[in-house]
Amino acid sequence: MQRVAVGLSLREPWLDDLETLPDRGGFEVLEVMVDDYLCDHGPRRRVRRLGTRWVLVAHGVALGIGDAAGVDEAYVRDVHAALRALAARWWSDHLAFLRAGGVDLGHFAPVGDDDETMQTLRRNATAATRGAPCPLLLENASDVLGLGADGPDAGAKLGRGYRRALEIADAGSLLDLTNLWIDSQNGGWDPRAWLDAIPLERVVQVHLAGGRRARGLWIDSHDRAIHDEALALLAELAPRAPNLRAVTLEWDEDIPPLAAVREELSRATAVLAEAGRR
Amino acid sequence: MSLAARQALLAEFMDDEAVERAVREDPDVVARERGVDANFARWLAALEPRRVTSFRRSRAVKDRRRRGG
Repeated sequence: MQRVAVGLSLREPWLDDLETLPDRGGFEVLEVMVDDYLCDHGPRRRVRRLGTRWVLVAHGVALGIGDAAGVDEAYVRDVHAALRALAARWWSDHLAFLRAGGVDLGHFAPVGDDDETMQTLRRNATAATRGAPCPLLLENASDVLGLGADGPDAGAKLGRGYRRALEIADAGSLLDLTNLWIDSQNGGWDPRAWLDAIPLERVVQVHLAGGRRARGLWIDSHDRAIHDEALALLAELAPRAPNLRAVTLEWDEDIPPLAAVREELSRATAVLAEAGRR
Repeated sequence: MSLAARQALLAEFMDDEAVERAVREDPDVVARERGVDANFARWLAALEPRRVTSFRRSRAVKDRRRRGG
């Protein structure tokens, strides 16, 4: 199977170091927060220049593909323009809803797998991808509320819901293995049953990160080293996901120096090598 | 049951502690008033407070990040 690239979700504190690295630094992909670069200004051009050395992929947090009220068409147009400017290979956002009842949650709220939700996903995905310069991936957002996560077969049931959403939206998968592991721990279900239920051929990218535990619940805080359990899931996934192209590391709080995250990323690289994907 | 009504109730539950109290007090009444399925309102009413607190904290962190704080 094809070699899998590794990379980082770009954070501003690393920009200077990235620009002065003598080579690619042992990774091939930079994931860019597209919402930070919707305007054609200096920072976007600076990131675009990084694209001469690294493959750029885009990640968003504001689409709200599950919103019953629909997606914001002006936002979608701005994202598409940014994707073109960055020459992004693909674009991802979260399988979640963000806005309802006059409330902008600004955080990913869970969608179910009922027919009305699926019709909404189909309609919103069509609006989001019409005229898009690259494919859309949908990420399994972490759900601390645990919608649908009850019963002994919750892992398989939630996995089937993710499958149905990807198929009806005709989207690829950005599979966040840390979110998967965290949700399975909080819900007491089997992450492997979830993996067995999803369309592995749709997995294009994997996210890894580290979360923290508070009041007995794990949250996806992105401020720790990658969980060993998430790497174990990557070891199982890599030989089974033929279209997997990139594994990227996210770090959002207490951001360490670039050298430290490169070291952390090397753990994922080793897992991929062991699986024959590097 | 309308998806829009269900999403609105969840969003307001997370955003406004008065809505949370009303749902926890009598989910069936809220379900009737809002036109949502009673099972959904009961699921909200039974949500562990620590899960709601985690969601709100995580929301606040993401909001701070969006504002560049």
